[in-house]
Amino acid sequence: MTFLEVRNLRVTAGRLALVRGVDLDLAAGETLGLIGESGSGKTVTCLALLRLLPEGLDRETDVLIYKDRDLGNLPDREFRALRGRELAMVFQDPSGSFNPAKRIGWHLRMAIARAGQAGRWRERALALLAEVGIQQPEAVLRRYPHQLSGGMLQRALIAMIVALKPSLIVADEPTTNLDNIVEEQILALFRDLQRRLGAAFVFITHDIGVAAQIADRIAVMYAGQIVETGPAEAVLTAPRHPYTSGLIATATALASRAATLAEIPGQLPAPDALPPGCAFAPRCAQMRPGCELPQPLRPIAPGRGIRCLLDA
Amino acid sequence: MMGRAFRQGLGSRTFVVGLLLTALTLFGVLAGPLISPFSATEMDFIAVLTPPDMTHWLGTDSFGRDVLARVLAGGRISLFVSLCGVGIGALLGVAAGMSAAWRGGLYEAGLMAACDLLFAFPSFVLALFMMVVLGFGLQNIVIAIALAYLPIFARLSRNLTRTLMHEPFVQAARLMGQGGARILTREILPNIFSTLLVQASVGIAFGIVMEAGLSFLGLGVQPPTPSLGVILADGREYFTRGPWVLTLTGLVVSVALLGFNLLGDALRDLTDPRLRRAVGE
Amino acid sequence: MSSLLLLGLLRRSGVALLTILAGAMVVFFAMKAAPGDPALAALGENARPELVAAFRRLHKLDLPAGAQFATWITGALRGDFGRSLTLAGGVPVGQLIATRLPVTAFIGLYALALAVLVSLTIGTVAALSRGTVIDTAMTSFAVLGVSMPDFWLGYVLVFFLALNVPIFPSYGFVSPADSLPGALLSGFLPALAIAAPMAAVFSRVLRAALLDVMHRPYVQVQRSLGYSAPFVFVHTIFRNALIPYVTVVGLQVRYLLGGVVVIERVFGIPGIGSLMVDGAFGRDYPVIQACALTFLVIVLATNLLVDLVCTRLDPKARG
Repeated sequence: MTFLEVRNLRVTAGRLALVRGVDLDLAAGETLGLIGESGSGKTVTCLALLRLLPEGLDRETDVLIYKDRDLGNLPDREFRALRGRELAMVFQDPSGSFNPAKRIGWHLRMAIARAGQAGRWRERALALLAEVGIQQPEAVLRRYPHQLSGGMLQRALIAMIVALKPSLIVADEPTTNLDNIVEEQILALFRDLQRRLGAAFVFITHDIGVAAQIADRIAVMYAGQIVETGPAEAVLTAPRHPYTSGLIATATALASRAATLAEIPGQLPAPDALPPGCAFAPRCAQMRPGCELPQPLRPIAPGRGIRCLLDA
Repeated sequence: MMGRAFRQGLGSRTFVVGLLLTALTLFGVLAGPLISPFSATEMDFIAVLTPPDMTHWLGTDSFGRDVLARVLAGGRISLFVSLCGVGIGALLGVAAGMSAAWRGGLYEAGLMAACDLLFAFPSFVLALFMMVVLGFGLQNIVIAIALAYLPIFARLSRNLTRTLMHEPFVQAARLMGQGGARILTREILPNIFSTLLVQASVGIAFGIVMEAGLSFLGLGVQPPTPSLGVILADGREYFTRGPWVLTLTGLVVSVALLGFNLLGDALRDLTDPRLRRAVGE
Repeated sequence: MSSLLLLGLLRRSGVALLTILAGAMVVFFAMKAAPGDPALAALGENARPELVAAFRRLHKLDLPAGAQFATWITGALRGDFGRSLTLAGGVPVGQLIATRLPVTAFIGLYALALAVLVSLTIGTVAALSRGTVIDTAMTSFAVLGVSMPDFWLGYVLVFFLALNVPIFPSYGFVSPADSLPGALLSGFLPALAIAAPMAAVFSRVLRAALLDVMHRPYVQVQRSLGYSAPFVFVHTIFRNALIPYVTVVGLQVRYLLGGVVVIERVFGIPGIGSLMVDGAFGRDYPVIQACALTFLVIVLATNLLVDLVCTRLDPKARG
């Protein structure tokens, strides 16, 4: 069965191209780490996938298959039925993800109802909160979102997702806003979720370390395109795209507190100022003639691809 | 900043329409004698209560006076009253509010309590009350309107000043030894000016309505001085015989106020810090 | 209600009572400062001295100011506001207030209800159809509504509706105690005149609040969970937009009371507003004082009520 196949996903805002032809392949239960700097298009890609783009943005795909079903031309009303039950998303800022006028209990109750188990929701809610490691579930149920910490809220959000048991979960930098200790706990929670739910994850992050801990496969995004993809271990230990190497070098330097910070010079190009050809070329130490031509995502091994004319 | 805001404003329909209407109103009011050949007070008993026609665009009233001329003259007076009232209220209110924020403590608490007390009376009721205490007439309407707006400006300027007081540039000025009054006027006031201006534009429009209401009831500007309220009161007396006086006068007033409100709206949108950031200033 | 809320309510009530007391003092002593001798004003400049003295004794004008205030305020607590100087041979002001307050309350609440109903519709439609012609039309109506003097609107309504279509009377008031349909009909035009500017303000606030909430992240989260659009709108978007909306509704009560004064005169409605205007003309100080105080109490009571409702609506306000 084809679990998830996306070909040539494009997102535009007027004349600006935010996502320029992204291909994704995901197997059931697999975790894809989507890595890139802010502005590279990772979030927009996933929002497009779930049809949650804000007004003014247009999306187009050549192919969008989920569980052997063609979702490309599905009417919005039917697509909505998939959201939550099949496709879910965890957003970056947990405190912004809750209706401030309602208690946590209400949030859980609505999620449980959506999962089709309306009756006796309280027991289920308490069990879910306990599952995600919340110590005093009865008290938390009565609280309002502004009374809880980021970490607690993220756990509660995960509890809601667990209630729905989706098969594909997009997590958009779910730990970025949390401090380190809590981050570790939430990541552990995600790994636990992977095991228990058996769901496929698309885990968005700009932090390679986080991706290393959680991803089976990795796709690196730059300026609206995927520039390298492959099994996590392969990409992290033997990166082939200069951008990926740069990211890993920076992360390693940070982690080992090296004397000098290995930085990638320059900045991500703005969507209205994209260079022709390889978008990374202006910052690339290995730029050479030919880089000004558009580069396709070239498979160099089964399940491994890079968008670069190196190693061609 | 004002220049840039102006150019930006020209792109907004609200701003343009508001500006045009306000300009038209101001022109009409200030250049009244140039527009209408008739006098606002001269009576013509031959042409009593004539409906609008080519000579008298808005018709004549029960004394044969040209309504348009009266409206223009009355508009001048009403606008003057409102401007003075709001102006004085703003001046005193801002001075009070800013100093309250700066001094803090009992002074601030006391001032805010006094403002709250004033504010607890409905504006029109307060104005009506003041007319009884002070006596009817133009001068006292100005005072009444000023009193109605003083608390609004006091609270607004005090809140704004409180926020800005702790900004680095204020601390820097303090360290350089500048006195409180100087800091308030030189550093803080320019920053809050646009917000106050928007509030003032809303206030002027409302002030005109308040004056009109008071004079309409007979408690405000006394006839024969034409103010918009007086003209409306006249119009009411013979409403069934000559409805155009009341109707058209009110219509003209509404259009003018519409201009003020649109302009105020557009100004608010233009000077809204959130929007400004979004546009990338 | 939690004890914290109760404490807050008590504190605010205390402040309100102090404000009423301070307001009463201001009202009373300001009236004393008004030019003219009330006795002479009522009886005429050439009245006989004995009549003037009797008048003074009757209305307690011969006591020192402080004592007069004390008498007045203690009387007020019992509902005794003294006697009218001009009306119907000294009718107790308290009686006047008691008969007229329900009338004003009826018109006021009628106007508020109309304004809320209209604005809920317009504000919601405008927000949902943002950017389209409908939105522009609604927003224009809203700006227009604020630009019209309400008493003028009252007359225009009378002219076009009452005089031409004989459903709504152009003058007078039918008490709901006598006939509810009659009261609703006779009160419609006056209520509408007052309601129009308020509806305009409310619509704009609701529209802005709805649009603001619509773009909040938690709305997107709820969509991502697959909740239906009507559900998200009612429970999340509208629910959170209610907070600023109700706040503004509360603030507008001051305007409402001001509008009532003029409209009562225009339509000949026997309420507190027209009483105050009559009193102003007749320099009937007890009446004016009592009316001013009544308005003050209404404003403060409404503020408390709105505070309570807002606290109920906004969890963050509960602390």
